[in-house]
Amino acid sequence: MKCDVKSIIQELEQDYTIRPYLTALEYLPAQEAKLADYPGWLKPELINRLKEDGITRLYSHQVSALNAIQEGQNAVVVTPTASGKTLCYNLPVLNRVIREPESRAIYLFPTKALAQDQLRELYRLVEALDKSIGTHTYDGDTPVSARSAIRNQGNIIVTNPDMLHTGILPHHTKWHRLFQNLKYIVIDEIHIYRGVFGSHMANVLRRLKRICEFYGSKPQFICCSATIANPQELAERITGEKFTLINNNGAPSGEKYFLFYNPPVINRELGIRKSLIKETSRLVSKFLNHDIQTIVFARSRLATELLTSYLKDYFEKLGQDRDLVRGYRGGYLPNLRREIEKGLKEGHIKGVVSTNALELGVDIGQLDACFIAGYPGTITSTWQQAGRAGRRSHSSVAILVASSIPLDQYIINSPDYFFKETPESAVIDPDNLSILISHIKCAAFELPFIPEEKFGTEELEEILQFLEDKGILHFSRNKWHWMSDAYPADEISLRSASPDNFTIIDVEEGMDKVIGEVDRESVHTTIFEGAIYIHEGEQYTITKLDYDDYKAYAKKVEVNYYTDAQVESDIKVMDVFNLHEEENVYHQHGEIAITTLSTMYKKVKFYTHENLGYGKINLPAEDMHTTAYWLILAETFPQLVGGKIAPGAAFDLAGGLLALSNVLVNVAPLFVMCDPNDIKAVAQVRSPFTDLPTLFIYDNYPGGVGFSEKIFELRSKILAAARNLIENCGCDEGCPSCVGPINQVGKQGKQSALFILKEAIR
Amino acid sequence: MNLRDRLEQIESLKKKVQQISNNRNQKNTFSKKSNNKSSVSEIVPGNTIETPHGNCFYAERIITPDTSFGENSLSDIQRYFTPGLHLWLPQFNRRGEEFKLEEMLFFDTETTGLAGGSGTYIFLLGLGFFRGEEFHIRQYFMSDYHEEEALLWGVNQLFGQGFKILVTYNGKSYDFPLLQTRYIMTRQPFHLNTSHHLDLLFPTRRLWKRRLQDCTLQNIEKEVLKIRRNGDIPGYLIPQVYFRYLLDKDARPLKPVFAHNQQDIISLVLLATRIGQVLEDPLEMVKSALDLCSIGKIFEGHRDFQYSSKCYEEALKCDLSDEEAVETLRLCAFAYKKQLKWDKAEAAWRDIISLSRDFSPYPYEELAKYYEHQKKDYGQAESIVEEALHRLNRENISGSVKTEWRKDLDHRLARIKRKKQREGFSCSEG
Repeated sequence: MKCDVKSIIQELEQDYTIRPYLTALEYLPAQEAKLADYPGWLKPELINRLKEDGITRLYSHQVSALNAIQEGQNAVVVTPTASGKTLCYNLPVLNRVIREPESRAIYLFPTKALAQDQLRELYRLVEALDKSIGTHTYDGDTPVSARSAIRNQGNIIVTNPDMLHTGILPHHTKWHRLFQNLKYIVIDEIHIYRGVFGSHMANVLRRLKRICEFYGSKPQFICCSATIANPQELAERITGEKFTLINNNGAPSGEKYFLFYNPPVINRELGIRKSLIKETSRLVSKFLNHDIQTIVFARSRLATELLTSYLKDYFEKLGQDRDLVRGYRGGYLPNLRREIEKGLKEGHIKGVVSTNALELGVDIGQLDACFIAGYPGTITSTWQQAGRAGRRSHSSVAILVASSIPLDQYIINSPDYFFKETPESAVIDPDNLSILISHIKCAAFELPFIPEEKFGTEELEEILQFLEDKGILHFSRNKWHWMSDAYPADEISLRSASPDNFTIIDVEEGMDKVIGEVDRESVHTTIFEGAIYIHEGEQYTITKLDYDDYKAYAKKVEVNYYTDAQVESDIKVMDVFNLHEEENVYHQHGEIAITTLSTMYKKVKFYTHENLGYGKINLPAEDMHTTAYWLILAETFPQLVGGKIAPGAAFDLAGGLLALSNVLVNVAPLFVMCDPNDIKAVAQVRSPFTDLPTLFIYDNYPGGVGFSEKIFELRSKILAAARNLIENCGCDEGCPSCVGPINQVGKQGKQSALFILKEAIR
Repeated sequence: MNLRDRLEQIESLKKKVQQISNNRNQKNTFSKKSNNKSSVSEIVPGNTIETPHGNCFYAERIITPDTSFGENSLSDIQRYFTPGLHLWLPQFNRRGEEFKLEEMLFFDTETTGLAGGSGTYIFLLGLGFFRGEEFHIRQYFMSDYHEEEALLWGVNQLFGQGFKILVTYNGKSYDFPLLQTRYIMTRQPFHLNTSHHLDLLFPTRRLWKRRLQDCTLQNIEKEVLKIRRNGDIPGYLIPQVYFRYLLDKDARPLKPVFAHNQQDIISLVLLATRIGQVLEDPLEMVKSALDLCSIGKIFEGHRDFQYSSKCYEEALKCDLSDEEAVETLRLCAFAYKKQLKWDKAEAAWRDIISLSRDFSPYPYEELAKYYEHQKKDYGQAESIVEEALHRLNRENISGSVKTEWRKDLDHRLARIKRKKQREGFSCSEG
């Protein structure tokens, strides 16, 4: 019984098992297309080619982009999913190649899969042009035999930042024809390059520009971004160039509904809600039952697999084909993924459950309904995912289902934040010393440095001298040369915050069976010897930790407890960059040195949280220099000593600070657009530096990447959001959805945190 | 933040970099103590030339024709080059041009690393060439990075002197692209005509890999040329020695590097000679059965099946294990088949059956094809396949392979039977 989206929404609103838990129902009206004529300078063969596809005129934003690029400006195009942004770069590039056949362009995509997808689209355009325009992907999968031809003849090289970093730039002499004739650098999905990845990317582009200069070319940049608060700033920071912002979206869209659903609470005291997976699957099956093509986004691989199998079971029970629903994630082989993409486009696959692998531009056509099982972490991603549903001619729906973690609970209960606020801004710090120095090494390998040169920071010469002292560079007649037999790009990964991740190996499955990876900072808390490590719902115990080889060995166990490491963090403030004083609290931002040491762990029983015993942890202390924001409770702070916050309730300083730090690390990523793991919090009842109660939130990356600076800037908003979250949580004394469980923060933790916030926001 | 604070920050970073470069520093603990340093010209004889980019030093050694290296002499190359090596210079051969010894340039580099890429420099570039009877080795050296342009300029002068064949070991994938990189990096034109590049690694692998596996130049010297290097410096240490020289300018530790590079170039000549010699008359020169098989394969590649079968026959006269004999017979049978020497091929396949310890369908299939398609003797073909099936059933082979083989054999048997039947009909009709 096929029905349209509107009537199923009505059905949901009348369903008493659903209606009370809908926290938002937004209606986004349809938008007419705004069209414009092809610019006069565009080659007729290109226009004719597009007309064959039925494109008689372009959207207004496409024409704006084309004209800006034609005038020689760098352009960043910001428009929603499926608004024809690829034409914004394909047309200028192809037009140039037709005019000047020696012209070259580099396309950068964040993943190999996206590169492949875009290449297919490009082929389709180029094929019918009947011109010899070489378009190739160049990545780890490119056969060695094809590489030399691609280097010499490819007009358009489609690749990713990692390949540029390790494979192309250090071998630029083999690519001299590319670099001599490079006219355009296209960076799609530029909003992905934020935080550590973005800071690396900015440095890779500094190296790229240095090499272009050597070969006498000055390429133009064309970037595309999802909706973020600062696309132009981000493009300018990443490329070091001035940009024109193109955001006059002229693509049409059908009307759309956006629903928020918060699964019902089943244990109020502990704040436990009905399972995200089961609730999502229940709702999705209603849509599938009405023959509405649906995409479901899950946050993890495991959740994807679970949802897929629940929905397959559902169809089987109805006596229908299990393959009406398919799973989709990064680990699937390319052929299988192509098959699923095709099935979705052609409509014989009714439902697909995916990780964020389908969030970026892979072409699957437009679907009717989109479920987002768990807040993806940013407003930007949420809109991207929701954009997967949306027909031009009729209505579509997106539904966000919340999990019980604080971030989800905050969003689901603050629909205004989501619908009214500007999305996050992407933060990068290309001059992070640790990242910078890595890329200066790579750059020196690529071309010797001369003293007057600039590489982002002003103190380049000092860093070069430093590397000379270390015997890595050698100064000879006014140039610093690479003096090492190593290949520096191999030592730097653009994607992981810390270069040395620990791998976890299942000893019973043999040496090759790596079940997971943990960054260095988390070793102390997750994979010490004796730790219970949970992977895809299975429990493992760490039998051995090889600290020198970055390996942990694990074996499967079934126990009724989990382990909780007692971490002692010692924070030394090295420098204060900025401060703001209020009546009862001080806000500061600066550089800190943090020493983390764990010496013992607790075994905690599931559900009852009884303490079952202790174990020792023998690990060296970890030191890190980074940047931090910190909140200080001033001497004048009321109730600091023995005060009361309510009749019979004492102010609990330690519990309150801990509760508050739990909330802040969850809420702050919303505003600075980072991963929850990118920042960490430490609360000190009496900080040796300030001599006062202090709560630190620091960048979990050596040198800092700029998150804490942003937190300092946006502190009022972040603290208000934290207060909002705590106040709106239905629990009495704290739960995992707000300040953390009672047994961690204490009976007065929640109220004390709220008390601190009231003083801080005043 | 002011500069002092920045410096502090850099200071804190030093620790981290220290950790990274610790391993490396362990390797190159520089001893800056020695006072009595030597310059390069003091440790190796040579000349300094002036170039538009400054001065450049090259070491020079002239080797007279009577100098011998083990059982070899450099002048032998004249005798052996043409007949044997032209197999690897097809363009040269096709044009019927004759090469002159003076047109060959032997080429090897010492570099600051093995990773390749634009941060790898050539600090010592050795070139060998014949002038009359004498062999010259010139080694261009840069005593610091700024001398690179002068070095490349000097080398270019030599390249411009009409050399036509470049001879290297692994030069196609390493030395030559690196040299191109260096010319691009210094923005200089590149004067070497490279239409004929003889990379000896390829013939060497074809000739000796079957027997030696390890085809590094060092191992080939030892096993094929019977040369022993005394006090040779291992290749992986060479960059460290050079980096140390850059810092303390004491050239003495470089002496073995110059010697190493010189020996490499001499080995290139000897190896080219040996390859020519071996291919000119393998049946006389080569005693190893495995090498004979390798040579047979080379001629097979040039579609000279008659000669390749001769090599295999010679190999079969050697003392071979059953396994080696089966492998050689197999090659030999293929060469016979290509020459349509069916009787000999049939004998070889039958020998394979009797010598093989483990079952393989291959000789049976070949025999069956022979009886079916050449002799049209379907009865014989049938009984061969049946014999194969019979043996297969007795063998202890893993399931899937066995099934696969049985399927193929069954299929063949069915076809032969059909043909036999049809033949029966046509006979009875006739």
